[in-house]
Amino acid sequence: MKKFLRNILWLLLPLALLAWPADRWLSSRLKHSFGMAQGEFSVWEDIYSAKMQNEVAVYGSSRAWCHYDPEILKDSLNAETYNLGMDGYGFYMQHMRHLEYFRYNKHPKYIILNLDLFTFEMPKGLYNATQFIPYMSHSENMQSYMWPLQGFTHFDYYVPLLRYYGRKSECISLISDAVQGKQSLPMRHKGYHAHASEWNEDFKNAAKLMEKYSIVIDSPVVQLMDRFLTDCAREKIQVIMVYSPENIAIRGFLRNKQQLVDLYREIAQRHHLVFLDYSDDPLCYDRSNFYNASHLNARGSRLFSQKLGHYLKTNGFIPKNMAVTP
Amino acid sequence: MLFNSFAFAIFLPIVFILYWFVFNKKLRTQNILLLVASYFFYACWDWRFLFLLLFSTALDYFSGLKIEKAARPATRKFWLWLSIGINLGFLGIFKYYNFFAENMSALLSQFGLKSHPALIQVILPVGISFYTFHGLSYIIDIYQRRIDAEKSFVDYSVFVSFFPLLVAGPIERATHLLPQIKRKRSFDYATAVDGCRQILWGLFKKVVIADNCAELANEMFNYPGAHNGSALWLGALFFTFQIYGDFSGYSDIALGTAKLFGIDLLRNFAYPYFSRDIAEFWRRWHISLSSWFRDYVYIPLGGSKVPAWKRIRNTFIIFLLSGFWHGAQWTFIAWGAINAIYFLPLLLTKRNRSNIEIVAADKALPSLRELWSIGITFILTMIAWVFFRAESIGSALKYLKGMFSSTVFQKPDIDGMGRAWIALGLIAIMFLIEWQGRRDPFPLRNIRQRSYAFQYAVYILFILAIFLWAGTPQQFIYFQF
Repeated sequence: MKKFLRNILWLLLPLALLAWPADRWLSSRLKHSFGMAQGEFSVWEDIYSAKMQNEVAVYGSSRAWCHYDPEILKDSLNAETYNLGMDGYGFYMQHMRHLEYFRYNKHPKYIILNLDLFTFEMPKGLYNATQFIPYMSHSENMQSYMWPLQGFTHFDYYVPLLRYYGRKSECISLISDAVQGKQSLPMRHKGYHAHASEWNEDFKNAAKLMEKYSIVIDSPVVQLMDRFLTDCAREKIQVIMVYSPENIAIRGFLRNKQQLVDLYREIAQRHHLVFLDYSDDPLCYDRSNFYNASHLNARGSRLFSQKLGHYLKTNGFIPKNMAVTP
Repeated sequence: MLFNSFAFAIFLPIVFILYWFVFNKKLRTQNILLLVASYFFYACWDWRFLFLLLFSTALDYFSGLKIEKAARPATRKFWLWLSIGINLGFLGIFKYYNFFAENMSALLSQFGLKSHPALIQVILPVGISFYTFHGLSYIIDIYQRRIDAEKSFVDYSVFVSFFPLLVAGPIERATHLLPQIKRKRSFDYATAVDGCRQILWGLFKKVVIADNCAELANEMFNYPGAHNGSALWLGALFFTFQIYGDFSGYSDIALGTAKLFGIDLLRNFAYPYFSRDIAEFWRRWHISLSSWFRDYVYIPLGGSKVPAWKRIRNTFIIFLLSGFWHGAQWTFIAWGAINAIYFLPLLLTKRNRSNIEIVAADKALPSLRELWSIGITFILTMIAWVFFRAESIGSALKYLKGMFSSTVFQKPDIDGMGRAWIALGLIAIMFLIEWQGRRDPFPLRNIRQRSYAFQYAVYILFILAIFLWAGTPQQFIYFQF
């Protein structure tokens, strides 16, 4: 028995001892792999560097990070802008990012909250989970928000290297970049990424598979947004709710969009906020502005950012407390 | 608690240390520990079904005692059928009720009769098919006076619930496992190391082979219309290795884990993809289930020592039952029927036992004839797996239509062909290792003859491969059965 335990120990001990430095090394490389995980690492690194000084912050999902050009908004508003759009997540995880952003950085004066079809949908599992790996063991907010979602086990937060289990493409890419001395260039600028692509068949394929989509409204997420808006009001942060353009092709695909829009209007009225609905804007009728039904391409996002910036500027940035269709 | 989870990696050493260091004085306390650990393991899935497991165990335990004590044949028969009836009743309710209700309703609607049967919205208790079959074999063996009824409830409960085999087999026999549970077990270094090797090999097959193949197979089977024939062939190939890696990997981990506690479980797989005909395949694939059906269904029906039409009937019965055992779906029944059709010509021409020994047992490579036989058997098996994997008979036929379309000669249109190449490379590595070790119960066993340094390097390599090349974690396929 002693021999057995000794041999097992000899086999596993070196691996266990190597696990912690290997985890540290992989995590430090991963944090700076700006091309990975849809470029989310550059945003997380900006948040955790605690140097963000922007006055305007854009919140939202992928529709935020590829619709709002911070440089155009900065020019229009004369205020430093940062796009905190988070790929693939509704408001639940956006709120987690908001908490992290607020914890380490100067708070903005204005938040542009981009809304979409999935804003109130509670995620079942973690999407693009790689982005959380380097930070998840020491961020309490990440842990508490990710805990209920499928993707990581409880051990992944505490046991070194375990969270890299099965992430072969990431590990191999990190090792090969290190061997070749490659430094990855940021994919996003101030959180924004312009998609230079033309209209593709994503939506057509999705529509073929799903026929019609019913928008999910999870009441805990609605309550979370209410809490967030109340907190912002307390801090005197002006929130502007925006439904950015989506291509008209999506309309026939949705069952209950009006219910969602009505809810957005109701929330805006309840918190005395402006709700700018661009879902019927002329931009929506031109496919050359989109790369798929719900995402603007570089051209579309430039036009939209100019339009929004102009509107906010000409309306004194803090418009009347009313829901409007610009 | 999955075998390939970190929770199990903590659970197993704790039970191992308690078993050999704390409760090692008395066999009874060791068995109680195994029982508690097994119930904890089971409760991690769903503690509510623990009551069902306990009830099933108690039912068979008391039925066994009653059968043994009964003097009159009618009383013996009563207790036998009571136990069989209740066991199969539970299985029927949880696993087959909705299937029968829906199909009966569909049948009635063919005659213009509308019915809306009440369906049960309940998840299938994990492992129910396995522990029910444990209990049935025990009861039947007592009834046929092959064994005596077990007097100790704890020992009998360990036989039914021993955690390595509880949720996905192998389906044990009382004649094999109970004597081991009742015997004082002492730690044997060579057996324990062998167990670790087998666990490592099982993990490799599950995590590296099955889970990587699953990602690709799912793509093809979920959207067969979106792929050309060659991609669909690859999809079928990936599923063929997914199910093998998944189930045989699970069995290897179960057998290896049991060895750590000084218990030898029945072998469940013996290199089935090296089979030269379907009969040999079924002697090498899920051996514990095949032999269960052979001993408790096929032979009582007369086996092969009956007229030809009865042999055909018996063959169809066991293959259809085997298919139906896997799940209440027509696809599983079709899979069973296809295998019966493959098997019949061999049975009727009395060539079903012509390949007993492992292929090329005393040679390095198979002959061309053997290679041809292996290839044909493999392809036939792969085609049958399409029915096993598909959501419905219609989907399976659509998939097969795509496989045999003219697009089979095109380049496979798989999104990210690199992944497919890597998976094929991993399959080739597994195939070579298995070929090399085909004379042993599991291929890593023959490594013990090599130097320590070589063994150490191989273990590290496998651990790293399991860590780095793990596919997206998938539930063990056989947990649903």
